[in-house]
Amino acid sequence: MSDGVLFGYAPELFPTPSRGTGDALVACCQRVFGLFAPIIAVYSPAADNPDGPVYTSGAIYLLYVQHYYHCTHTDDLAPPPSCFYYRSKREVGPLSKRSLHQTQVEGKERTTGLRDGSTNTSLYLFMIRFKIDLLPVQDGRIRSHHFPENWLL
Amino acid sequence: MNEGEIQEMKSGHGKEMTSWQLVKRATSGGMMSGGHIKALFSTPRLAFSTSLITLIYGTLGLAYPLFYAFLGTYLDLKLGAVGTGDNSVNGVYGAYVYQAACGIPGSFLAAAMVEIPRGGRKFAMAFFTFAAGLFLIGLTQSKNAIQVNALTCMASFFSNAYCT
Repeated sequence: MSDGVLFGYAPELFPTPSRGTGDALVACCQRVFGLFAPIIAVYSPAADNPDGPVYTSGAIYLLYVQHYYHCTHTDDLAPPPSCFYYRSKREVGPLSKRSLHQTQVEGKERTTGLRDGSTNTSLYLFMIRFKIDLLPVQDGRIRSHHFPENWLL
Repeated sequence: MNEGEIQEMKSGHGKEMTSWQLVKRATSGGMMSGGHIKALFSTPRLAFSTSLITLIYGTLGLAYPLFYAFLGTYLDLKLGAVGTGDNSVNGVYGAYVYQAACGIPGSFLAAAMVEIPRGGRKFAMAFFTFAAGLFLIGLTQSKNAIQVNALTCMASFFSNAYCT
């Protein structure tokens, strides 16, 4: 009961550092909505007829067909946010492999970047090659205008 | 936790903390502070995408048990109502086995369809969802036992292909 296109695809839609959170979020939402299935099947007007829940189920399927096409493959939009979470303002300067690897924030050295697999490695190398610099994040908030959404195009 | 706090804990003379303060300190940094959730909604497009995936998961999490959790009862009622049906234990469990068996090749069709160029997984999901919805609505209009069995099998085939 766990093989399917959606369950294999949806985790890919989240940016890598927050992928686990995204999976948990959608799984939580799935169960919370699933809670309403018995309520609909027992207490709603649909329960007057044995066909009611099945009709509701079919109608929900048909309603959400279009939504699949609006999902965005977010790895195409921007690199995962964590690569510039930990860069502070002091470090604005030319990007290097080292500055992606290790940054100095609040006296603590943290390792960032270049650890999430080959896809992101190639993204970072691309950034280094084309001097795409990311200005730091203030208060954990990403300044997306430094990084246009269509930068790969 | 800084060095001073560690020293305080080691020396055993740290001030008492209430339970609420302990909870707040445990959840103040790291993964409990909501930074990962903020990251999922950090840009407008990312927020839109995340909301949409959550919505799709939610609605599918609703639609799937609406059909499958009550399938035994439904088959019993429906096979009893259509006149030609057999809603004895044999008949109902037979219909249940038919639909379960029809779910298996759905996975294989899904595995083949996601490889179609220019269509891919989005097209496969949309197609299977559409077909499942169509056959489920057709199932509510079925008039005899053969239609009930056939349409249940088709709905099961398509809804097993794309999700769960």
